[in-house]
Amino acid sequence: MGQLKLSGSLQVDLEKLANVVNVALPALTLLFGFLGVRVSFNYHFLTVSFLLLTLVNLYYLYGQKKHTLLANFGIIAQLRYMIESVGPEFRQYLFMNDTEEKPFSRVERSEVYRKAKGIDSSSAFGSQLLFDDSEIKLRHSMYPLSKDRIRPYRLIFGEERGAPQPYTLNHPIIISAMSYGALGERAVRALARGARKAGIPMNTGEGGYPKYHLMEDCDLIFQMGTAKFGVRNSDATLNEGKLQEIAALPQVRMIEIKLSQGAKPGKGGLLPKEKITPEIAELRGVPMGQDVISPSFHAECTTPDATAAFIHRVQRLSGLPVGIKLCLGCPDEFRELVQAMKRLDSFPDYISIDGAEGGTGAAPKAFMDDMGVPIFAALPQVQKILVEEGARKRLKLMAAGKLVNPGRQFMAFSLGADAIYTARGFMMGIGCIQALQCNKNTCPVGITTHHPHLQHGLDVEEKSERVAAYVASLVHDHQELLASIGKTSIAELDSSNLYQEGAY
Amino acid sequence: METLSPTVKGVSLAFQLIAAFILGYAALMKFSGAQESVYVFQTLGIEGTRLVIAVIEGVAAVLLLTKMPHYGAILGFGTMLGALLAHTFTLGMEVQGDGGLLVSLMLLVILSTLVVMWIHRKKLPLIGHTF
Repeated sequence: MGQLKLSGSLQVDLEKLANVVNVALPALTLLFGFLGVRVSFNYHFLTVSFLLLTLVNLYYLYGQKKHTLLANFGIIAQLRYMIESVGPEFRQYLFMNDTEEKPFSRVERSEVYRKAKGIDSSSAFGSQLLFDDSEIKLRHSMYPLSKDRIRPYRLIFGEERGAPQPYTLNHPIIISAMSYGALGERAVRALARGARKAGIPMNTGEGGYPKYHLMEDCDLIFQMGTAKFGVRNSDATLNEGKLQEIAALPQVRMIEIKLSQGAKPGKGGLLPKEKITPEIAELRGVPMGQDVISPSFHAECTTPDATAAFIHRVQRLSGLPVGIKLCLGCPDEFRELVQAMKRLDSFPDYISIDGAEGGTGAAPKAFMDDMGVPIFAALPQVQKILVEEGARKRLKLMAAGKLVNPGRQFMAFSLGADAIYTARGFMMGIGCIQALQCNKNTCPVGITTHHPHLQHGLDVEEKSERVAAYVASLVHDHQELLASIGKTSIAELDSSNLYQEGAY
Repeated sequence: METLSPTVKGVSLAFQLIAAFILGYAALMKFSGAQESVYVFQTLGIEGTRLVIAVIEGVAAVLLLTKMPHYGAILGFGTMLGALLAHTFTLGMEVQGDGGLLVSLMLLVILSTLVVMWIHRKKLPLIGHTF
C-alpha cells in the first residue's frame, strides 16, 4: 500500500486510511449500539452489521496468518483484492492495446469474429502489426492470377498406401481436437453441426466415445490420446475390439494417434476423480472414484520401431487413414521415427505438427510457456527431414498452433503444410471472448463449461452458422491470397513465397 | 471444492434443521401477529419492524435448508445478535413469564449457526479464503 499522490499537498495515504478504518469500525459499532439503546432499536441493524465487520476485521488483523496485507492493514486491504479480481476484465475492456492481448490480440480475434459473422473484414488506414525485419510476410506476384484460374482444393488421405477407405478433404481446414469434457455438450454440437454445414471434418479430441460429436453427423477424426480413452484396456494399452467398433461408425473417417501436444508436450493429463461423472466414466472407459492419469507416452510406443509398428497396427485394425499428432522436440528423434517408418514401410497417412503455442483446456504453466518448438520453427524442420528421408510423398502434413487467420495459415502452407488444424479459431467463431477460464468450468460464453445456465446462451443452430461462415470466409481469403501470389493451388506454395529477413 | 465427510455433513444437517426450525417458527409467529411477538416489538418500540425481521428470519430459515446453508447461518446469526441486544438492554431474560424460553431458543440458534458456519467456513464470504 503506497501513497497515491494527487497533487502537491493533497494526497491519499492508504496506510493512514487503513488505520482510520480499523479504529472507526469498533467506534461506529459502539455509537450505533448507544443509539439503538437510547434512540431507536432500529439502529441495532447497523450495530449488528458493524459488529460483524469489526469481528471480521479483528480476525484479519490478529487471527489469520495467510494474507500479509490483511494482517497489516485489515479490511480495507480487501479493496486491493476486489479491484484486482476484476482487473482482467477491465484491462480487456478499456486498457489493453488492440495488439497486445495474449494469446490472441483484439485485432486477431476481431478478424475471426467478423469472418464468423460474415461481416466485411476490411480495415482502414494501415496495419496494426509491426513491420520490422523480424516479421514473416507473404510475397505477392507482379502478375496476379485471375481467381477463376484457382484450382479447387482436394486432399486425399490414405491414397499413398491405397488405404481401403481413403478420406477426401475439400477445404484445407479442420476443427482441431476438442473433447466432450474439455467442452460442454452444446459447444461440441455447435462445432460438429457447423463442420457438417461447412463440409469439413472435426477432430474428437481424446475424450473417449464421441457421443455428442456423433449427434450432428459430421465427418470425424477419432483421436486416441496416450490414455486411449474409449479404446483402452485398464492398463492403457489398445483394446482392439473397441477400436474396431469406433472405426466402424460411419461418421468416423480417420484415426489420429496423439503422441504429444503443443501446449504440454511430453506430459500426460490428469483426470481428477471429482470430474468423473457416470457419463464421463462410460464414454472414456475408466472406473469411477479414482484419479485417472494419462501416461506421457503410449504404452506401445517405446521406440521408433515400436511406434511405426503401432501406427501400422491401427491402420490394419481400423481400415481408415491413420495420422499421428506431435509437437516437435528433438529433430533427431523425429528423423529416427521417420527412418523406422521407412524400415518397416509403415507410414502414417498424415503427420500433424502442433506448435508449442497450441492451446489447451489446462496445462502446467511451465509446459505451456517453455516446452516444445513453435510451429513456424518446427514446420520447416519437419518438412526438411521428410524430404531428405524421401518420406514426404508418402504422407500428408498438417499444422496447428494459433493458425486462426488466413495470413498465418498461408505461412504454414508455404512452410510445407497441406492442411490446417485450428481449435481456438473455431472457439472464437462460436463466441469465445478469451476470458481464460477454460480450466475452471466457469466459461462465461458456455463453451468450456458444463453448467447448464452458462451454456444457456449458446444456441447450437446459430453458432453452427458461424462455423460455416468462418470456413467460407477463410476459403474466400485463401483464394484471394493465392491469386495475388500467382499460384493456382495451395499445394504449389513453398518457402519462396515467404519473406523474412535472413531466413528465406 | 472441499468434500465433507458424511459424519460432518450429518452434524451440519442436524444443526441446520434446528436453526431453520426455530427461525422459521419465529418468522411465522411474527407474520401471524402472535401476541408474544407483538408484545416484544411493542416493548422495543419498533412494532413497524416486526415484519422486516420476520422476512429476514424466513429467508435465513430457507437458506439453511438449501445448498448454501452458510448464508442462512450468517443471516440467522446476525438476527440473533439483534435479539441478544434486545434481551440484554430491554427485554430481560424472562419475557412474559416464559421461564427464559425465548432466550434459550436464541442461544440455541446462535450455537447452531456458529457450528454451521464453522463446518462451512471455507465458503464464508470475506474470510473463507483464509482457512
